[in-house]
Amino acid sequence: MRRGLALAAVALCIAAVTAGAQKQTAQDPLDRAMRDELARSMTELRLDTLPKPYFVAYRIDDIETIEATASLGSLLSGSDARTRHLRVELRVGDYDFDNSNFMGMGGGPAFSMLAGLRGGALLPLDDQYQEIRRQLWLASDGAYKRAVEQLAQKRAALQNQTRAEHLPDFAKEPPAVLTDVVPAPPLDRAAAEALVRGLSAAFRAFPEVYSSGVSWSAGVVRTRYLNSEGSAFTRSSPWLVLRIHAATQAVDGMPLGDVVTLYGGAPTDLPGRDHLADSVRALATRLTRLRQTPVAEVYNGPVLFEGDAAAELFNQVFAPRLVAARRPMAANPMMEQFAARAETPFLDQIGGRVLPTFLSAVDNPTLTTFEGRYIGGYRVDDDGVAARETRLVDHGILKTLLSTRVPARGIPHSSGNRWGAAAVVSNLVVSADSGVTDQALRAELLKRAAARGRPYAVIVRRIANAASLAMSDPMEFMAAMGDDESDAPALRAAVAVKLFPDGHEEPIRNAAVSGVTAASFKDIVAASRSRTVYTSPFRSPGGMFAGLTGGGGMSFQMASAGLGYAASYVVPSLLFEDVTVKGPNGDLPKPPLSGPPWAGSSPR
Amino acid sequence: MAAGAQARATSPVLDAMRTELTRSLTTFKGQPTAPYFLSYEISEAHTVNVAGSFGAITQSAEHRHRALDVDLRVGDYRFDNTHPLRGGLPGRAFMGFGEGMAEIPVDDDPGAIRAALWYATDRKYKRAVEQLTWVKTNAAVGVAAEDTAPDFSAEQRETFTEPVARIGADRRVWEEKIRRYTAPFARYGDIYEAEAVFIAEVDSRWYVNSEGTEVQTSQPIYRLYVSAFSKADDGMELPRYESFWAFTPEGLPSDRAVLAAVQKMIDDLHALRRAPALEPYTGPAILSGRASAVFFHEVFGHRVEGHRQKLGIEGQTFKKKVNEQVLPPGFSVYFDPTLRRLAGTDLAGFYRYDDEGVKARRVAVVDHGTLKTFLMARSPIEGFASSNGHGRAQLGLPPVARQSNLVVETAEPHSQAELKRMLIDEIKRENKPYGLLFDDIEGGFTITMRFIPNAFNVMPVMVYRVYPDGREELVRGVDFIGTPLTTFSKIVAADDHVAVFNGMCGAESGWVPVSAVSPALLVSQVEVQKKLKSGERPPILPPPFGAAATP
Repeated sequence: MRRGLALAAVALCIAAVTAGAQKQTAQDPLDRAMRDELARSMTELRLDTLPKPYFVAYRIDDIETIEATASLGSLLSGSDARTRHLRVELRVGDYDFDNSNFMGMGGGPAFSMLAGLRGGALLPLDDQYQEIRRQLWLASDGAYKRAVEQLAQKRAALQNQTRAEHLPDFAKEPPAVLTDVVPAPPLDRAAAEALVRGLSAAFRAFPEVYSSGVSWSAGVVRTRYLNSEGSAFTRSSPWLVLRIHAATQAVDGMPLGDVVTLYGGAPTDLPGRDHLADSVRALATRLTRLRQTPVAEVYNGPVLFEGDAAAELFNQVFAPRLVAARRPMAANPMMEQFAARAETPFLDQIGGRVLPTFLSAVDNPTLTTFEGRYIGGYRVDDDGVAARETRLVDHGILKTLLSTRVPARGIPHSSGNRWGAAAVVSNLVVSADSGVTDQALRAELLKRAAARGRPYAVIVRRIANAASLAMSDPMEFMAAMGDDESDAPALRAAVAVKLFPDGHEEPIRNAAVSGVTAASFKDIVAASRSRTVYTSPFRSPGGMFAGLTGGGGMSFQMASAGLGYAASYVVPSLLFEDVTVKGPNGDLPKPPLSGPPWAGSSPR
Repeated sequence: MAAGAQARATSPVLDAMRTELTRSLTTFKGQPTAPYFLSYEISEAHTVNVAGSFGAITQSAEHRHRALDVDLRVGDYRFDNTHPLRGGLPGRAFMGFGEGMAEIPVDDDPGAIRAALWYATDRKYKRAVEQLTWVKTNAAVGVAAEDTAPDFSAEQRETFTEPVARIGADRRVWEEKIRRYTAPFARYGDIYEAEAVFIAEVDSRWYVNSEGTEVQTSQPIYRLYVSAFSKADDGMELPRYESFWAFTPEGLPSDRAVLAAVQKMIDDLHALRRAPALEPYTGPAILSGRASAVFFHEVFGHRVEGHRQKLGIEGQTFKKKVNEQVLPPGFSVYFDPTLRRLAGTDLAGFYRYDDEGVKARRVAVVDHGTLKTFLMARSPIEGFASSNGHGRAQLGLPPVARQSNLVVETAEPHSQAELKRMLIDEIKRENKPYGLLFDDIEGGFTITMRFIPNAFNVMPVMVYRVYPDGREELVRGVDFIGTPLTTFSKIVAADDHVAVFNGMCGAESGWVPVSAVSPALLVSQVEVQKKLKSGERPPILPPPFGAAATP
């Protein structure tokens, strides 16, 4: 889940100060415990002749959540929880060469019950100074022991390797003390349960939708961060997510599913109850109709990706390339191959053209709304670096990539985009110099289809997000796991139509889009003037590697709290010249032998 | 209580299940391959969970959810779609992809419950038809099966309904208790983890099948676990555990008793830090009642689970030993899920009906040393055609034969003093410098499969050396290991002091609560191996606060 979903309207202050984090909150037992143990770790934590840490950061996430899921008007599950997690990031060596960016042989004691080796701890919810300090002490101890071992392994590995490029391990950034606090959304479990019961009951009127559900997740992460350079931040990141999912089988047995996900930071960001009920009915109606629709046939030619589809296309194909991920040093050749996959090919394309010259793109975490619509954002990233706008693509030319404090080739400093273990896209805003009206874009599509001798053109309106689908269906989860990270992932078009020269549309079903790679984006032929605002789960390509090779801190707590990360997009509709759209291959399961039992029954 | 003796209370969940079961059977009747058996089990876990560490709360939550398990069979009782594949892999577990499992609404809403049943049943049916074709072909091309018993047993129709229980525990009260129970550990800088967890759970189950059985049971369970660990200076990790188990909140020990147990844990941990590490050793030993109970659960109990006698990949230690002597003649072992309480303790393996709707009953497995029968679910084996009410599963999983309350009895109990004297005699006779006393244990595991050597490992926490002069000395760092048949033949005698071990047992059908009850045993020869040890040294810096000195 995206965090830092801040609203501009509320108390939000930002203050760049060079030092003096210590004085602000001396009364708070957690802050006091962090400050005291950090000072002790920096001065006293060392083993015999081994080096002391040169950098220590503590981060405490206080996570409060409520969740509720219902199907056909009946509650499947509801929960509320509060947990507090500690993560320690500890580095030995120096900024130029330290224990990080290295895939070792595992190392460390074969097994250990000491919590510190796991890179963090579950902290007491009670604000007890002594207990917080005990956990900081043990976690720092484990992180230090692991760091010195990693450094020794890395030095040993280096004796057998010549480094092709010399990059510092950790970038120096000016210390800052920042505050980014917004009010938490109301965390009312009973209200959430009533909402999902009510909304999901609408599916009872749609007997041809075989399984369905509505789920609500709301919460807030309150983060305190302190590092040995004098940086500190306090940040609250609220979220609200409403998911409506439905699945059925077409008359020929082919599975059909779709998920509508709405994001917000406060209840006012989401549509009202009546509009939500309309969304449920719209999804159910669309699936019901789609059951009878002819399956997609093979089409090669121009395709218009409208609105949400254009944004999801960016999310899945182009945006992951905008994250600077560095290839870690590996202890052996087998791991070397694995490590090489960490790098984004865009590192070598800075200065080159990656989009048509009429398109530009910036990432701006500090935006919270766009044209009045919620997109979320944050003021300070997980390294304590102030968030800011980054010009990524200027008139088609790639200028830089999004980064953390881990330098990559050509990217010496942080862009303030660390979220969790790695850099992420926050709010990607794409603008077109020569955008045309939606009408003109459709005309252009038809013209190009005719030139290719096609009797019709294809418009894709929504592309499914596999991660999103997987949340409601274990089979989809398996499919998502199997999705490789190849250049051209198969994209499922949840909504697609044929557009005929006379202007009429015919829906197509189970369409898969293929052949769109990051490289095809520079051949986009036209874009609309209008832009869509869209949020979707984002998978950072560097995430796994950063987690494995970071400076002694992993970010499993977010996963354990069930929080994914979502990025936002402001994107025009996009016309591609040459795309393949086709139906699925393989055998079809049979439709159910009987109709659903609730057909005709009314909700309670 | 006779089956069906109780007045059947209204149960919206059972009603919905029966309605959809009937409708499903009608639908499938028109198909070329119709099911001969269909059952639904809906299980609900409603839990309150409070955890704390060193006097502070780390988690406090309440959850409720329901899961479904559908058993749908095509073919007939003799040969159906669950027939084991050649090579011994069970058809049922290895050929499905979770059809028949589903999340069920916690609201007693018939329409929504039936919707979930409907879709899961349809998918399960299609898979079952496919499976039957596979297993028929497989059986035709394979060699004759080792076990020619039918695939499924027909069982008596049962009806039973008990009201759904409520959780009788207040989270706020328990948060305060957990703080108090874990606070004493906070005085010590050499105790690195100290946790107490309170779990109150109501486990409710609704079962219907096409043979007419309808069962609704609901059982509250209250558990308290306390765990702590320290490290010796050589890096060895030293854990201590205490657990309490009861069917009522009042059944758990008083604050005073828990705090006394906590103090004992602290004293034991400090004594363990100073204790010498034991080297590998072979010789006589006494297993305390709790240690013997775990030993019997691991070494004996898992090997008399019926379905393990059927599969070609299992070791089948006891398959051909029915009516043969497997234990010394003075020993008997029975499993009794209807036993609610013994030796002053509630028994975790208590239940009224198993997860296949079969009534629970006492099963005498070993009578005066002679093996009589196995623990049976509805999967028959040669010579044992019916279930004896031991088909069990964790919520939402397909059941297999599992243990309930295991009770070891001896015809000739000795006093504790006599048993120790017998140990000393044995030490002298074998000319050993010392014997061992396994006092407390944390648990164990065992392997029953053929492809790994069949062995067991019981993990003791408190072990003493017993010298010929009767002196006892605490030692650390060993596991009790061995192979089952050899070890059984070395059991010499038992005392008159019965102890209970309540715990959760994990196997292919998930985690189920079980209990094992045994007197202390004298074994003429045991083997111990060194415990897997961490190479990590204790923390570099002293604790950041004024910790009490190790006493």
